[in-house]
Amino acid sequence: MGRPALTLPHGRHVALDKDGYLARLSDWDIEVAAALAHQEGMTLTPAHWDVINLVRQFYQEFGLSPATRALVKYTGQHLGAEKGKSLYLMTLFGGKPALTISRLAGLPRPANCF
Amino acid sequence: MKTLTFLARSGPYGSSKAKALLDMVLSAAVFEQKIQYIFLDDGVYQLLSDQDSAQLGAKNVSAALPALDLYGVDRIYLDTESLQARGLQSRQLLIPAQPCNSDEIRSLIADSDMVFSL
Amino acid sequence: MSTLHIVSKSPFRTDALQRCLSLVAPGDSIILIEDGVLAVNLSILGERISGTDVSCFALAGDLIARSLTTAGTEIQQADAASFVALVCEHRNSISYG
Repeated sequence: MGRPALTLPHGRHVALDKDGYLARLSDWDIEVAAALAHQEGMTLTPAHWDVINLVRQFYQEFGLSPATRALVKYTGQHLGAEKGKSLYLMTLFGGKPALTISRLAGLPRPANCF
Repeated sequence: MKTLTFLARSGPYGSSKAKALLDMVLSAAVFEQKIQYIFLDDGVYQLLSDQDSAQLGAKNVSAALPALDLYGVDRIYLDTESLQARGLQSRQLLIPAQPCNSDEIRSLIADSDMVFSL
Repeated sequence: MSTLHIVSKSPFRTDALQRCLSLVAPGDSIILIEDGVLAVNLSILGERISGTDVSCFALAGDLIARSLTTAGTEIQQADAASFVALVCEHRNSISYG
Protein backbone atom coordinates (compact mmCIF):
# COMPACT_ATOMS: atom_id res chain seq x y z
CA MET A 1 0.00 0.00 0.00
CA GLY A 2 1.87 3.07 -1.21
CA ARG A 3 1.61 6.35 0.63
CA PRO A 4 0.77 9.36 -1.53
CA ALA A 5 3.90 11.12 -2.65
CA LEU A 6 4.98 13.82 -5.05
CA THR A 7 7.78 12.92 -7.43
CA LEU A 8 10.19 15.68 -8.31
CA PRO A 9 13.08 15.99 -10.78
CA HIS A 10 16.23 14.05 -9.80
CA GLY A 11 14.14 11.29 -8.23
CA ARG A 12 13.22 13.25 -5.12
CA HIS A 13 10.03 12.15 -3.35
CA VAL A 14 7.95 14.24 -0.97
CA ALA A 15 5.28 12.62 1.22
CA LEU A 16 1.71 13.95 1.00
CA ASP A 17 -1.24 13.47 3.32
CA LYS A 18 -4.56 11.94 2.25
CA ASP A 19 -5.81 15.32 0.98
CA GLY A 20 -2.69 15.91 -1.11
CA TYR A 21 -1.13 18.41 1.28
CA LEU A 22 2.51 18.12 2.36
CA ALA A 23 2.91 15.61 5.18
CA ARG A 24 5.91 17.56 6.53
CA LEU A 25 5.86 21.34 6.30
CA SER A 26 9.66 21.40 6.29
CA ASP A 27 9.73 19.63 2.90
CA TRP A 28 8.45 22.74 1.15
CA ASP A 29 10.57 24.69 -1.28
CA ILE A 30 10.12 26.44 -4.61
CA GLU A 31 10.58 23.21 -6.55
CA VAL A 32 7.89 21.47 -4.49
CA ALA A 33 5.48 24.36 -5.01
CA ALA A 34 6.07 24.27 -8.78
CA ALA A 35 5.48 20.50 -8.89
CA LEU A 36 2.27 20.79 -6.84
CA ALA A 37 1.10 23.56 -9.18
CA HIS A 38 1.90 21.37 -12.18
CA GLN A 39 -0.35 18.66 -10.68
CA GLU A 40 -3.13 21.25 -10.66
CA GLY A 41 -2.37 22.16 -14.26
CA MET A 42 -0.96 25.56 -13.28
CA THR A 43 2.25 27.41 -14.04
CA LEU A 44 3.28 29.79 -11.29
CA THR A 45 3.81 33.44 -12.21
CA PRO A 46 5.10 36.28 -10.01
CA ALA A 47 1.48 37.10 -9.17
CA HIS A 48 0.99 33.55 -7.84
CA TRP A 49 4.20 33.75 -5.83
CA ASP A 50 3.14 37.00 -4.18
CA VAL A 51 0.05 35.25 -2.81
CA ILE A 52 1.86 32.02 -1.89
CA ASN A 53 4.49 33.95 0.06
CA LEU A 54 1.77 35.99 1.72
CA VAL A 55 -0.13 32.92 2.88
CA ARG A 56 3.10 31.52 4.34
CA GLN A 57 3.51 34.82 6.18
CA PHE A 58 -0.08 34.45 7.49
CA TYR A 59 0.77 30.98 8.80
CA GLN A 60 3.95 32.27 10.47
CA GLU A 61 2.03 35.09 12.09
CA PHE A 62 -1.12 33.30 13.29
CA GLY A 63 -0.35 29.56 13.18
CA LEU A 64 -3.33 29.01 10.86
CA SER A 65 -3.96 28.22 7.22
CA PRO A 66 -6.43 30.95 6.27
CA ALA A 67 -10.00 30.39 5.18
CA THR A 68 -11.09 32.38 2.12
CA ARG A 69 -12.55 35.37 3.94
CA ALA A 70 -9.46 35.91 6.08
CA LEU A 71 -7.18 35.37 3.09
CA VAL A 72 -9.06 37.95 1.00
CA LYS A 73 -8.86 40.54 3.75
CA TYR A 74 -5.20 39.85 4.50
CA THR A 75 -4.34 40.06 0.78
CA GLY A 76 -6.07 43.43 0.60
CA GLN A 77 -4.05 44.68 3.57
CA HIS A 78 -0.69 43.55 2.18
CA LEU A 79 -0.93 43.48 -1.62
CA GLY A 80 -3.40 46.32 -2.13
CA ALA A 81 -7.16 46.67 -2.24
CA GLU A 82 -7.46 45.72 -5.94
CA LYS A 83 -5.98 42.28 -5.15
CA GLY A 84 -7.95 41.81 -1.93
CA LYS A 85 -10.90 40.31 -3.77
CA SER A 86 -11.98 36.69 -4.00
CA LEU A 87 -12.38 37.09 -7.77
CA TYR A 88 -8.69 38.03 -8.11
CA LEU A 89 -7.62 34.95 -6.10
CA MET A 90 -10.00 32.69 -8.05
CA THR A 91 -8.63 33.97 -11.36
CA LEU A 92 -5.14 32.96 -10.24
CA PHE A 93 -5.86 29.76 -8.29
CA GLY A 94 -9.23 28.46 -9.45
CA GLY A 95 -12.56 27.93 -7.71
CA LYS A 96 -11.36 27.12 -4.19
CA PRO A 97 -8.45 29.50 -3.76
CA ALA A 98 -7.93 29.06 0.00
CA LEU A 99 -7.54 25.29 -0.35
CA THR A 100 -5.30 25.50 -3.41
CA ILE A 101 -3.04 28.25 -2.09
CA SER A 102 -2.43 26.49 1.24
CA ARG A 103 -1.59 23.32 -0.64
CA LEU A 104 0.88 25.05 -2.95
CA ALA A 105 2.38 26.93 0.00
CA GLY A 106 3.08 23.66 1.82
CA LEU A 107 0.70 24.44 4.68
CA PRO A 108 -1.89 22.14 6.31
CA ARG A 109 -5.37 22.05 4.80
CA PRO A 110 -7.37 24.97 6.24
CA ALA A 111 -9.34 23.36 9.07
CA ASN A 112 -12.33 25.61 8.76
CA CYS A 113 -12.73 25.84 5.00
CA PHE A 114 -15.49 23.92 3.29
CA MET B 1 -28.55 35.31 10.69
CA LYS B 2 -28.14 33.31 13.90
CA THR B 3 -26.37 34.56 16.99
CA LEU B 4 -23.79 32.01 18.09
CA THR B 5 -22.11 32.49 21.46
CA PHE B 6 -18.86 30.80 22.41
CA LEU B 7 -17.86 30.72 26.08
CA ALA B 8 -14.12 30.21 26.53
CA ARG B 9 -13.83 28.95 30.10
CA SER B 10 -10.56 26.97 30.11
CA GLY B 11 -6.92 27.97 30.44
CA PRO B 12 -4.86 27.85 27.24
CA TYR B 13 -2.56 24.82 27.82
CA GLY B 14 -4.00 22.55 30.54
CA SER B 15 -6.15 20.80 27.93
CA SER B 16 -7.03 21.09 24.24
CA LYS B 17 -10.30 22.85 25.04
CA ALA B 18 -9.10 26.38 24.26
CA LYS B 19 -7.83 25.35 20.83
CA ALA B 20 -10.96 23.29 20.11
CA LEU B 21 -13.27 26.20 20.87
CA LEU B 22 -11.15 28.57 18.77
CA ASP B 23 -11.42 26.15 15.83
CA MET B 24 -15.21 26.12 16.29
CA VAL B 25 -15.27 29.92 16.28
CA LEU B 26 -13.19 30.12 13.10
CA SER B 27 -15.39 27.50 11.43
CA ALA B 28 -18.58 29.29 12.42
CA ALA B 29 -17.12 32.53 11.05
CA VAL B 30 -16.99 31.00 7.56
CA PHE B 31 -20.80 30.91 7.60
CA GLU B 32 -20.98 34.64 8.34
CA GLN B 33 -23.16 34.34 11.42
CA LYS B 34 -23.23 36.81 14.30
CA ILE B 35 -20.57 35.44 16.61
CA GLN B 36 -20.00 36.42 20.24
CA TYR B 37 -16.74 35.17 21.74
CA ILE B 38 -16.76 35.54 25.52
CA PHE B 39 -13.73 34.88 27.73
CA LEU B 40 -14.52 34.08 31.36
CA ASP B 41 -13.31 31.98 34.30
CA ASP B 42 -9.87 30.48 33.48
CA GLY B 43 -10.56 31.38 29.83
CA VAL B 44 -9.29 34.91 30.54
CA TYR B 45 -5.75 33.42 30.68
CA GLN B 46 -6.09 32.72 26.93
CA LEU B 47 -5.98 36.47 26.30
CA LEU B 48 -2.68 37.20 28.09
CA SER B 49 0.06 38.57 25.85
CA ASP B 50 3.60 37.12 25.80
CA GLN B 51 2.60 33.46 25.99
CA ASP B 52 5.49 31.19 24.95
CA SER B 53 4.63 27.50 24.79
CA ALA B 54 7.85 26.35 23.04
CA GLN B 55 9.10 24.50 26.15
CA LEU B 56 5.82 22.57 26.31
CA GLY B 57 6.21 21.52 22.69
CA ALA B 58 2.73 22.92 22.10
CA LYS B 59 1.45 25.46 19.60
CA ASN B 60 0.94 28.97 20.98
CA VAL B 61 -2.86 29.15 21.15
CA SER B 62 -2.86 32.91 21.48
CA ALA B 63 -1.08 33.44 18.13
CA ALA B 64 -4.38 33.02 16.27
CA LEU B 65 -6.29 35.61 18.32
CA PRO B 66 -5.12 38.66 16.32
CA ALA B 67 -6.47 36.89 13.19
CA LEU B 68 -10.05 36.90 14.56
CA ASP B 69 -10.63 40.31 13.01
CA LEU B 70 -9.66 38.93 9.58
CA TYR B 71 -12.29 36.21 10.06
CA GLY B 72 -14.90 38.86 10.80
CA VAL B 73 -15.11 37.93 14.50
CA ASP B 74 -15.21 41.31 16.20
CA ARG B 75 -17.62 40.79 19.13
CA ILE B 76 -15.10 39.77 21.76
CA TYR B 77 -16.02 40.10 25.42
CA LEU B 78 -14.26 39.64 28.71
CA ASP B 79 -15.68 38.93 32.16
CA THR B 80 -14.14 41.58 34.41
CA GLU B 81 -14.89 39.59 37.58
CA SER B 82 -12.89 36.63 36.28
CA LEU B 83 -10.03 38.96 35.41
CA GLN B 84 -10.02 40.60 38.84
CA ALA B 85 -10.36 37.30 40.73
CA ARG B 86 -7.10 36.19 39.07
CA GLY B 87 -5.21 39.41 39.77
CA LEU B 88 -4.96 40.21 36.05
CA GLN B 89 -5.32 43.55 34.30
CA SER B 90 -6.76 44.40 30.91
CA ARG B 91 -3.51 46.09 29.85
CA GLN B 92 -1.87 42.64 29.89
CA LEU B 93 -4.16 41.43 27.11
CA LEU B 94 -3.08 40.61 23.57
CA ILE B 95 -6.25 41.76 21.80
CA PRO B 96 -8.93 44.25 22.78
CA ALA B 97 -11.99 42.69 24.41
CA GLN B 98 -15.01 44.53 25.67
CA PRO B 99 -15.20 44.33 29.47
CA CYS B 100 -18.51 42.98 30.79
CA ASN B 101 -20.06 42.36 34.18
CA SER B 102 -22.17 39.28 34.94
CA ASP B 103 -25.42 41.03 34.04
CA GLU B 104 -24.08 41.94 30.62
CA ILE B 105 -22.82 38.40 30.02
CA ARG B 106 -26.17 36.97 31.07
CA SER B 107 -27.90 39.14 28.50
CA LEU B 108 -25.40 38.21 25.76
CA ILE B 109 -26.21 34.56 26.48
CA ALA B 110 -29.95 35.23 26.61
CA ASP B 111 -29.80 36.83 23.14
CA SER B 112 -28.10 33.77 21.60
CA ASP B 113 -29.60 31.16 19.29
CA MET B 114 -26.87 28.70 20.30
CA VAL B 115 -24.28 28.64 23.06
CA PHE B 116 -21.12 26.53 23.13
CA SER B 117 -18.97 26.30 26.22
CA LEU B 118 -15.51 24.75 26.58
CA MET C 1 9.94 11.91 56.10
CA SER C 2 9.08 14.86 53.91
CA THR C 3 6.45 14.85 51.21
CA LEU C 4 6.30 16.54 47.82
CA HIS C 5 2.83 17.89 47.02
CA ILE C 6 2.16 18.09 43.26
CA VAL C 7 -0.69 20.38 42.19
CA SER C 8 -1.69 20.12 38.51
CA LYS C 9 -5.15 21.72 38.35
CA SER C 10 -6.37 25.31 38.24
CA PRO C 11 -7.19 26.60 41.74
CA PHE C 12 -10.29 28.20 40.22
CA ARG C 13 -11.72 24.93 38.94
CA THR C 14 -10.92 22.28 41.56
CA ASP C 15 -10.05 22.16 45.24
CA ALA C 16 -6.60 20.66 44.47
CA LEU C 17 -4.68 23.63 45.88
CA GLN C 18 -6.90 23.91 48.97
CA ARG C 19 -6.52 20.21 49.72
CA CYS C 20 -2.76 20.51 49.30
CA LEU C 21 -2.55 23.53 51.60
CA SER C 22 -4.52 21.76 54.31
CA LEU C 23 -2.26 18.68 54.19
CA VAL C 24 1.15 20.27 53.70
CA ALA C 25 3.43 19.87 56.75
CA PRO C 26 6.64 21.60 57.88
CA GLY C 27 9.62 20.42 55.82
CA ASP C 28 7.40 19.48 52.85
CA SER C 29 7.56 21.03 49.38
CA ILE C 30 4.88 22.04 46.91
CA ILE C 31 5.32 22.07 43.15
CA LEU C 32 2.81 23.65 40.78
CA ILE C 33 2.65 22.05 37.32
CA GLU C 34 0.36 22.33 34.26
CA ASP C 35 -2.73 24.43 35.15
CA GLY C 36 -1.59 24.28 38.79
CA VAL C 37 0.75 27.19 37.98
CA LEU C 38 -2.32 29.45 37.71
CA ALA C 39 -2.07 29.62 41.54
CA VAL C 40 1.29 31.37 41.38
CA ASN C 41 0.04 34.80 42.45
CA LEU C 42 -2.70 33.71 44.85
CA SER C 43 -2.49 35.22 48.31
CA ILE C 44 -3.79 32.05 50.00
CA LEU C 45 -0.70 30.23 48.74
CA GLY C 46 1.73 33.05 49.54
CA GLU C 47 0.38 33.44 53.05
CA ARG C 48 0.47 29.71 53.72
CA ILE C 49 4.16 29.30 52.78
CA SER C 50 5.48 32.65 54.02
CA GLY C 51 7.69 32.31 57.10
CA THR C 52 7.40 28.50 57.13
CA ASP C 53 9.90 25.89 56.04
CA VAL C 54 7.58 24.76 53.25
CA SER C 55 9.27 25.38 49.88
CA CYS C 56 7.17 26.09 46.85
CA PHE C 57 8.16 25.61 43.21
CA ALA C 58 6.49 26.12 39.84
CA LEU C 59 7.44 24.46 36.56
CA ALA C 60 9.08 27.10 34.36
CA GLY C 61 7.77 25.81 31.02
CA ASP C 62 4.20 25.91 32.27
CA LEU C 63 4.67 29.45 33.62
CA ILE C 64 6.23 30.81 30.43
CA ALA C 65 3.56 29.25 28.22
CA ARG C 66 0.89 31.07 30.23
CA SER C 67 2.80 34.35 30.41
CA LEU C 68 3.05 34.10 34.22
CA THR C 69 6.03 34.85 36.48
CA THR C 70 7.07 34.17 40.07
CA ALA C 71 8.30 37.76 40.52
CA GLY C 72 7.26 39.19 43.87
CA THR C 73 6.47 35.75 45.32
CA GLU C 74 8.42 33.25 47.42
CA ILE C 75 7.94 30.62 44.73
CA GLN C 76 11.01 29.28 42.94
CA GLN C 77 11.07 28.21 39.30
CA ALA C 78 11.92 24.59 38.53
CA ASP C 79 12.81 22.89 35.26
CA ALA C 80 12.08 19.24 34.45
CA ALA C 81 15.38 18.06 35.94
CA SER C 82 14.81 19.83 39.23
CA PHE C 83 11.27 18.40 39.34
CA VAL C 84 12.77 14.91 39.12
CA ALA C 85 15.32 15.85 41.79
CA LEU C 86 12.51 17.03 44.07
CA VAL C 87 10.66 13.75 43.65
CA CYS C 88 13.85 11.90 44.61
CA GLU C 89 14.63 14.15 47.60
CA HIS C 90 11.24 13.58 49.19
CA ARG C 91 10.22 10.32 50.71
CA ASN C 92 6.68 10.49 49.33
CA SER C 93 4.74 12.50 46.83
CA ILE C 94 1.05 13.27 46.61
CA SER C 95 -0.64 14.36 43.38
CA TYR C 96 -3.67 16.55 43.50
CA GLY C 97 -5.42 16.14 40.13
